[in-house]
Amino acid sequence: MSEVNWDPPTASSNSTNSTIYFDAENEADSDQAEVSCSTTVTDNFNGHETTKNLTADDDGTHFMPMASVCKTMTATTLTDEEASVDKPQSATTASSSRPLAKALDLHESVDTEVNIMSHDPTWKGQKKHIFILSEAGKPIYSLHGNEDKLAILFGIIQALVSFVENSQDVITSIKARGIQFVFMVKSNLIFVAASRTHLSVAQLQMQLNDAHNQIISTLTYSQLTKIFNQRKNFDLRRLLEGSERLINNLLLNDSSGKKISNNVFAFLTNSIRILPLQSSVRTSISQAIKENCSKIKNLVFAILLAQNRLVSLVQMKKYSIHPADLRLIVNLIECSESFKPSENWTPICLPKFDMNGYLHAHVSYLEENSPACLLLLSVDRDAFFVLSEAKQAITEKLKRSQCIEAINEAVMQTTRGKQQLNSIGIPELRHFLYKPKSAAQILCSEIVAPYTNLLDFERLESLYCDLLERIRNSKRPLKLILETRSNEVALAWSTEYYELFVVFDPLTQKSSVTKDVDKLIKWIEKEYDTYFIRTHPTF
Amino acid sequence: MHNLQRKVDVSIRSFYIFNSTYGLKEGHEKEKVLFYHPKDIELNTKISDIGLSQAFTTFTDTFTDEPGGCEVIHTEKTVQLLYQAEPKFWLVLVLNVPKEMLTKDGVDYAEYHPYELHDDIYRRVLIMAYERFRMQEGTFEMILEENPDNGREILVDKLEEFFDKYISSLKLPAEDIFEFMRSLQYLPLDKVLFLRVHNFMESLKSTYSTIKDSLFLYKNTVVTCGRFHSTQLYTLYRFVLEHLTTAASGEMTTRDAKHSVHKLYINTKDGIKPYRMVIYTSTNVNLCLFFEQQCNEITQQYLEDIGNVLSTQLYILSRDIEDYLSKQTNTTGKSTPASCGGDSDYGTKYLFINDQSLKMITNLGEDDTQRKTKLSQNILNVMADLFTISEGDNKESDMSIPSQEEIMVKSTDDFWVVKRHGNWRQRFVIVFSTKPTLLDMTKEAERIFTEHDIKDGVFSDK
Repeated sequence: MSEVNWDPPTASSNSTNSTIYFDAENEADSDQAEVSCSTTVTDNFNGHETTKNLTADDDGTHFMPMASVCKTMTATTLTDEEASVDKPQSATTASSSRPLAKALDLHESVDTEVNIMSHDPTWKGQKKHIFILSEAGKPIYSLHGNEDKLAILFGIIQALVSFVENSQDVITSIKARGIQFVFMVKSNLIFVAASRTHLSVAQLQMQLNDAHNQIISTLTYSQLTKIFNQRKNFDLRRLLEGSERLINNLLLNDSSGKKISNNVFAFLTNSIRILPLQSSVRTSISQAIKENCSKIKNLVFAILLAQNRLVSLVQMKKYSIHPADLRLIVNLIECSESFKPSENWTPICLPKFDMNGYLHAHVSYLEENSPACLLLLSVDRDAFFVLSEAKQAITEKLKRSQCIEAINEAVMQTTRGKQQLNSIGIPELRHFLYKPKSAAQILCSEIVAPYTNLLDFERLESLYCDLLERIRNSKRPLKLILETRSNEVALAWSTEYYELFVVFDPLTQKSSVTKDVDKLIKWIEKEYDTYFIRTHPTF
Repeated sequence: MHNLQRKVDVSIRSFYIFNSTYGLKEGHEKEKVLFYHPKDIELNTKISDIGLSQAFTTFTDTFTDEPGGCEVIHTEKTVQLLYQAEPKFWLVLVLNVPKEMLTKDGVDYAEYHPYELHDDIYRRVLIMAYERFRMQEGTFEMILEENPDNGREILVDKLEEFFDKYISSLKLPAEDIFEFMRSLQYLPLDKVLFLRVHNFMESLKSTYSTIKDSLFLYKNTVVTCGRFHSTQLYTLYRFVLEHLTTAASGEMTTRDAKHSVHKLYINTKDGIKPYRMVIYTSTNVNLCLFFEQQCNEITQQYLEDIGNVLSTQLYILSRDIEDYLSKQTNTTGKSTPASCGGDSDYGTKYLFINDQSLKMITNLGEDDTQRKTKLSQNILNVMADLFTISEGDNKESDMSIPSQEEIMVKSTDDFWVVKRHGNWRQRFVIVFSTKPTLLDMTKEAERIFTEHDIKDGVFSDK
């Protein structure tokens, strides 16, 4: 319990000089540098050290020194080849139509080279591809396949984007038979999705936004823009090393990752799932957190999660956490087995909270083998020991009040899905989603047969994707949809107060659908405080 | 301060046709361009537009084993619709997205409304443009094969002649639901009268074995439509109607010219073949007969003879149909016999389409004879969302029985649409009111579906 895990550095400090500088900004190693390497740093490392201190706190004016450090570094440490590509921006725009012409002139060579990779049936057969590249065309990320082998494809994407940009326009999407492509240009990066799933353009855009947020969360926006202002063709992969798994997990939250889970519905509705708890239990949990944290300065958020579900959230007055930020946090916890046995101290940027600065997160599980994970996020980079103490106290309190047991019990309950549905008393009910309009929270009934089978789940997912798109999209929103198909009857209903999506057995009559929906709504209203959190307390 | 200045509607930015295998050598790129509208555009722009379209198709092909599937490209300001009509021949329609010009803090800016353009509706416009060309001039390949020496030049001339006119006749925004659904108005006749028409056609065909197919129209409605494939039928129907309107508005047809002859390329089971279409007219009836183009027997005299044989019969049929229709009007007090309702307060509209015969039964636009009633953009797009486009524009549509489905939607701006799909029929019921509840709507739709199920049984579809 007392073991402290300083996140290991993700790259060795003896790589090239230019890497050292940027590595220091990486996801997790900031304080490691300070704690363990302070005596062995090189000149360059010292340079980085100062900037590090500044990024940790905030942004803006403090960044000026970093720019100058950066400049001197580029001047002194870059190889000729690297330096020569650092052209002023105007030059890039002028020449940006060239790659397209080149891609077309070399039509045949493009065909053959691209095909080397696209001949691979597994690659081609993927349900979803996501590519991230810099505006200069440098590969950064590909969900499937090695980016280096896809260099030509990245080149074509870059050429298409910049060609359209040259006519003062922006490419947003392409539809081909059976495939939907979505483009997004943000923070000097190009994001592309190619999908054979049922996700709509808007839903794919949300995924690209998630990927963008994850990158910001690792590097911060100011850092990112600084890098590309300095060097248009910087290879960002060096800085993102280690965070690919986070991006992968975010992007594979739907059935394209062969997962059967309600997580995708939380994503699609941009909301978070709540661990069902009696409201008295939840109150004593947040009370325990409040009591032990209210005196700690600079503590912004205290978040207790269990199994991807929110147990409790306590916020600093006047601040609130955006669902997109919360999703990043949930994703981080889901992906990081290494958090389990120890206390952790990790910097994290929450793009919607402050895209230019890091928060520092004390992350730990309440007890060994407990599914409950507590995050204490502070702007103070030296708060580790204070937060560690608070965590101890919180755990003690929760243990005494048997709240940990209650959480364990609630987590166990979630795996006994059919019981929850049965307790509502609607036999033809198969699955439902309920989202109050006043909160970014969603109630998803547990997944039961037939949807425990991947093929059937894919059908369920595509049904919900479609209903959600029709109900939520700004294009031509609908209030109510009732769809009768051979496999199921589905209803989507958007009222002033909530959105409801329900799937019934295929032979359910419309007259019983209305009765069932009434019954379901009554049940949810009765149980509301168990499944939702009305207000998040403040410190 | 936002302040509405003006709205700019959708417009055609460009329309071009190219062959991706032409002009591969450097300096010869212009050979790719077969047609480009508008004309007064620099050649370099034309070439680079085509290059971009081609780059998009290459890009999307990377992800699939079935190349040529690139359909729509959206940018903030444009929608580009692509259609590979024949191998390596692409048609591209580029639209300017509708926008609103706004002023904020003294700065003008445009707000784009891409959602007003429904991809399916505009892609249908593009595909229909090609199908119309193909029907009148044959496929691009045929034109090239017929002219081994100067095929490209001939093709370019033909494209220019056809599309200059066609594009100027296009009406934007495209908002004709009947055109999008390619539906035809059939004339509802009673059994006896229908069988008389049918028998007349059959006996005519058995007397003149040269007649390959036929289309019998009364005013602008179809009475019988022969064996045309549904993908061909709509284009043909539109052509005949347009021809009749221009003929009627033009100089009075003299008594001798009772028929007009057209060479048309018809898509049959055995591929696309040239036919000679002859239209015989008698008062409100137009009978189109189709002969093989190559048939030597078909002389002017031969056609005259058929015309003489037909004329009395056609006249009598036309008169009897007219009598029948006026009787219908007197008994029901309505001009369209298919109307139902009366016992409903909702002013329910309906639109039923048979995917195979394209037969449409509707009371949309019932009140004005021109059928010009416009649905609002929103309801049109919602219906287009719900409409299932039959697969395979050129292929035989697959014959497996589609599963029975029903979808009921309520919009945020006061209308309900119920769509039932199955048995090769797509049926829509529309109510312009949010008053009815889900159950009311279910009952109302059920009432209309049942009423028409009975009627559908009485009148043979084909």
